[in-house]
Amino acid sequence: MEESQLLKGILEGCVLAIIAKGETYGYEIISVLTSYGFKDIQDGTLYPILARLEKKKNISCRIGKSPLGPKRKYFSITDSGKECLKQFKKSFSSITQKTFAIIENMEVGYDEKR
Amino acid sequence: MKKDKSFDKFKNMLHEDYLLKYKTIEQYISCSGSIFDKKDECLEESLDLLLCAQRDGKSPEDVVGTDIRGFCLNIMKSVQNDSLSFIISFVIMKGSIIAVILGLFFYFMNIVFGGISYVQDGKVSILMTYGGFFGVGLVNYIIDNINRKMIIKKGESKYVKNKSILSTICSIICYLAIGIIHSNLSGKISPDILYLDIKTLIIIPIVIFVAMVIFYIIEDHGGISALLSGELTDKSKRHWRIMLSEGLYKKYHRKKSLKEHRSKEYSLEDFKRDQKREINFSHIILYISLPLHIILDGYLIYITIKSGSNFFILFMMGILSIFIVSTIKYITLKKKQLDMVEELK
Repeated sequence: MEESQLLKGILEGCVLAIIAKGETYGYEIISVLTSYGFKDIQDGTLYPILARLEKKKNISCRIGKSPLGPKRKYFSITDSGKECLKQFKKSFSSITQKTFAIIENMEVGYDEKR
Repeated sequence: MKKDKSFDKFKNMLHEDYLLKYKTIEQYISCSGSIFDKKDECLEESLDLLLCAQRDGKSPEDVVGTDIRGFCLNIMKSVQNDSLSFIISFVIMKGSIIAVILGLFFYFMNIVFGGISYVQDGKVSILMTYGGFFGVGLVNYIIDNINRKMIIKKGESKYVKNKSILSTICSIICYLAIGIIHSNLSGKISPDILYLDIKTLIIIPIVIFVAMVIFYIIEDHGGISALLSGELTDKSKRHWRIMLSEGLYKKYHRKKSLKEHRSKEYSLEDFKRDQKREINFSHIILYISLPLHIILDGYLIYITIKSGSNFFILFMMGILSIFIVSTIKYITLKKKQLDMVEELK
């Protein structure tokens, strides 16, 4: 299965979790994601995700001064974003549990395990 | 593309590899047709990414990846708020406005100098107005497309640097070619098809504009399906907020650098005071112009009724109304901006 298909929704949750830690900006989010092994994020995939999150009002954006460049967009989480993150954590862990259970059971042999 | 001077200063801070990547991105984005000035937003983000990567000793590929096309498409997608149908209707409106300008140009040239074949009995050639705009647009689209492919293949290209000269030359050639086509067709096709009344030419963009405003309002509130089901949303808020915030930022730093140039200090508090002063000033203008506007409107309506319908008077009334509406809009937006001053820190 294509990894990018799987990643789509998961990355949104990851980005939300990073922003929930405190106000941050594009480069920092990319750095955190790559340091955890998400290499796919490098070709700008992050930006549509940020736009989507902003449209859903899960994060808010402000333009501030950058110590390096001309200016920078800073993102911070909103109340509805916090709620959304909670929901994501819940549904993600339940999905992974189910998925692992199925995969492991099938590997060992469905009948044996029963 | 408009750019402030600080932009180039930051650009020159990049080392060779990073600068090459940045220039490639800059060229690709400059060759991607966009109707609104959102290109700077994309470039600033790319510049910030590359500067940060340089500071932390990361390679440029670590932040923008190896697929420049993908990166640019993604970053442009994130700032584009408008749907395809809106963009198409915007292009059509732009075309019809340019057609009016071109039409009026030939019309008055014919009155002054006479003998211009693109005008016949007060009618202007469709080919030289609408045909001109869409022909030139198509030529530029093709040039952009070829340029983008070249950038992806070879990286930064010197041809793209001279893009504006090339596109100007091609546009002129295209327009001349359309002129020749017109002269060849003028005897063969009936003038009813080839020529358009100047009044119709002016009315078309007005009708399109009104339709577009209605369309945009519906789209901003979630589209026709949301309108029918009654579940309206407001998409425009985000769009406005970012635009206001950007304008405020630019203004503050422009004022600050001006004061610093004269060795004076300029703090956020000073800026806030200036903003408040501007709001008060526009209030005064509004209070003076509103009663004047009402009196003048009444007078214009009186003249219009008395002298029969007069297009010019209605046009003047429209301009006055736009002035009042924009002053009110200016004040309300300024007040919103005032709340955002704190965010600039």
